[in-house]
Amino acid sequence: MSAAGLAVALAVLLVLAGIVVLLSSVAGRLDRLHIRLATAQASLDRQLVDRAAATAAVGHAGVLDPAASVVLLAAAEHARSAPPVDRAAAESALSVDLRAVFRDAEAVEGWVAHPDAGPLLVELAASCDRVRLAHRFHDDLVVRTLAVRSRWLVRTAHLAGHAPRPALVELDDAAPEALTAATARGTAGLA
Amino acid sequence: MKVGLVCPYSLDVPGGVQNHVLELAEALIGLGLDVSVLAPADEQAALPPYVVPAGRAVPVPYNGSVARLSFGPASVARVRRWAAAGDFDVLHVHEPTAPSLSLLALASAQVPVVATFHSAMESGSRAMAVVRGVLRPALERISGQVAVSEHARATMRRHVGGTAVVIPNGLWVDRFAATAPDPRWRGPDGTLLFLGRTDEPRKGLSVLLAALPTLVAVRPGLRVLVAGAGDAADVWDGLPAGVARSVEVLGRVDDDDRRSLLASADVYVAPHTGGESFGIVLIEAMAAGTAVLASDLPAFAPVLDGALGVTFRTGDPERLAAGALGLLADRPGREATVARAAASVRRYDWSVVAPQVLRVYDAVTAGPRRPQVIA
Repeated sequence: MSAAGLAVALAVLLVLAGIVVLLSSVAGRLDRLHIRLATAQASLDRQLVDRAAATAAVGHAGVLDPAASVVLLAAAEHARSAPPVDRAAAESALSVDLRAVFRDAEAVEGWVAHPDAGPLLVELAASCDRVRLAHRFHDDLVVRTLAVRSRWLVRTAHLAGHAPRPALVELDDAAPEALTAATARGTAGLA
Repeated sequence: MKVGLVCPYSLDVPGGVQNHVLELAEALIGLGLDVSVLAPADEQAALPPYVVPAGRAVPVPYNGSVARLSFGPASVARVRRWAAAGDFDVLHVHEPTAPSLSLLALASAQVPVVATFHSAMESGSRAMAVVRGVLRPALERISGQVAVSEHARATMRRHVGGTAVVIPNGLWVDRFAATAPDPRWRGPDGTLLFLGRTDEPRKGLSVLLAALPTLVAVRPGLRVLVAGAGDAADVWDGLPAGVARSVEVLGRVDDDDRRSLLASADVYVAPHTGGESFGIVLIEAMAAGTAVLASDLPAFAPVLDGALGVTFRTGDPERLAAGALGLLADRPGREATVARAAASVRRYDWSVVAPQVLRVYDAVTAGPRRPQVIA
């Protein structure tokens, strides 16, 4: 083989090696995104389950009036038992119910000051906040993963493989503000 | 006798329980009782003099739909003020398991309480199991339980326990019977009427709409009136092809128009698919002299009593069409059914129903109060 032929063969080999390295690095990145996404999904799920449990605990505490307690218990049960396709709607409904029950700042402060309900309400407010964070992180990862998946190279080389296409979670996660405020004051006082 | 009636649902929106409570109040006042009604309602709204508005209700998701309910410390305070000022001999709460004023009034009641259960739930029993612990202390204060139908009584037994007497929903039969048919509503090939929310699937409008191609093929001049709250555009979107000119979407109608529509239609169609407990609108149609064609729901069967109307298999548009065409074609048969029904609905007149309620009050307050004889 001539020297020129050898040089061409080497160059082709180098380009091929470069392509392999590029593909495997993008594939690795995508794989890590999908793994983190699975973790984020599990985390959001757990935070929502915790929030429903914290809501039910407040409903059973016997400190709120029975009508408000029934609203909370029914909403928590509805969220807990919703089939996957209705889950986001049921969790959003729970957020609406929480804001409705904890809409009156003066009443909320009275409940937070109650020894039987105070710790449960602090926990509920914290879990509402954790839901909001977990939802935000989850959706952020979805956006980043979709951005990588939409690249020409990824689509052409099928680098996403059979990983399901991730989707944003349509969730109303706005916190009951009066509860957030009252419990923040309460814990500041304890510290 | 001083009676305090509590309605859990907002008077700012129409509804079966709200109507029942207001008409019962009127009927009891007619019997000489001193009646006050507490209900969620806008303080600025025009209300009958016997209603004490408890302020606007809060729309919240509850049991899978949005309900306007009153709860929280402000509502508790209002209920207590009303009960203290009213100095009632008996408190009559409606739908006490709904998270609203009735439950709050029950929880703080100081006098004998009568509770009326209106709803028949096919689902939601798991939610009831979850809230049972919260409801129990309140429900234990009930002295007399009333259900509006056998169906409602069965639901109550399952979720609350205990036994109830059945006293049906009432209506003023003569207000319907005296309404004259309005030629404006008549169609050359007959008139069908649907009443109820157009956007609530269990009211069954989609079943009626699916029957229209068959109906219009046989009776091209048929008129189908659709009256009830909901977005008209959604109704038009749901129409099968070629039937649009037979349909009129009227939107929400007031009580006068409602009676006029019922008196003018040939057939009132009740294609409900579930969730009904009593079917007061069937009785209204019967009182107005209109033939009733209804789903064969368990709640409707006792009202129609076999010969007072025609039923079809729930959710089946072809059976609906066959039933409607049968009624429209057989005028003498239809008129005979209507005459039987008009006589039968007298048992739901408030002049019959209100005294039954009064006897329950007597039973829980240890007997009727007779004028004291002064020696």
